[in-house]
Amino acid sequence: MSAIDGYVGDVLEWIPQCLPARARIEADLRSHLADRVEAGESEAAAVSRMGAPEDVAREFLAQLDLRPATLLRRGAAFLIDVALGLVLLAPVLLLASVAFEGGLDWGTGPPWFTILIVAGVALALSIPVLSVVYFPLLEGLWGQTIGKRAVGICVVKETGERADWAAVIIRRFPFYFDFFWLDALFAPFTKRRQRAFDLVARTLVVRIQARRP
Amino acid sequence: MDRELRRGTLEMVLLRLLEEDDRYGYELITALDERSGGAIVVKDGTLYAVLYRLEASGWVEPYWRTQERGVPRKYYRITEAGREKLERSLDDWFTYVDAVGRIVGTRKGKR
Repeated sequence: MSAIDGYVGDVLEWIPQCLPARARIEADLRSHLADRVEAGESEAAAVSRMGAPEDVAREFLAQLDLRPATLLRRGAAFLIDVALGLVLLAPVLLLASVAFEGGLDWGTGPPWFTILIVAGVALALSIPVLSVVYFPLLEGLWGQTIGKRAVGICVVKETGERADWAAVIIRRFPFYFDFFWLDALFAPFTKRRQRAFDLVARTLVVRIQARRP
Repeated sequence: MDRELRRGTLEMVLLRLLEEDDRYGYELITALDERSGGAIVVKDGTLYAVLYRLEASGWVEPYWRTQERGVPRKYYRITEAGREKLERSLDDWFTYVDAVGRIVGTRKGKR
């Protein structure tokens, strides 16, 4: 890996993948470093003039207009994610119920009754499964779940930096211990629409806005 | 040069350089260094953050121009709003410098 690739990668490490500005920042950094190299500098010398990767990333992020996502969008994203959980879990449970015949009387009971029970169990299981695995994994990797992506919002640190693993796990605590509604009550009353555990994790859910090219 | 002073005037200086001609990042860095006699040296990463701010304010706009070597390069041009901002900033700057100069004197007078 070249010094330029390494440096650009280090800067981008701090910038959430879900922000459209990320691609632009990368293009600007590469173009600028290429100009320095073309002017006769070594890659290492060109990189040394840029500043520490985290400082450069923070300076870029400080210029972005990160606006809190509306509660409506956040709610819509959550419903999409739960619906996805249901769709994914229900067939699994249905197959399981068929495999273990003793659990559900597939042969004599009406099919709708079986489906109703499976859907209920799927709903009961989907939120814990989503909370423990789905939300932290996707938010840690990309800053957004499928639902958040669908409605154009994303999780970042209060500084605009990429939300790290600790942050995305901490902001899920209310889901693990079943006090989500209490936690969510904070959001309408905080300036940046943060849940109580967004405040603890120092995270924000922001609206993704397309930038001019 | 004092960091805060430099930071406060950097936007105005960049707008002034872009008023003369469209320039790309490396040209701006070089011009800042050379024309300030080395007094205004900014980290390359800082320059781009300031350019983003100027762009977000509508005072400059970027565009890509492909060079003979075939690699596209991003240039910045000043907008009409940028020219108006520059005019206001220069007015404020010279008013301030004149006022401070009347109090502390000139460098020559100090010696």
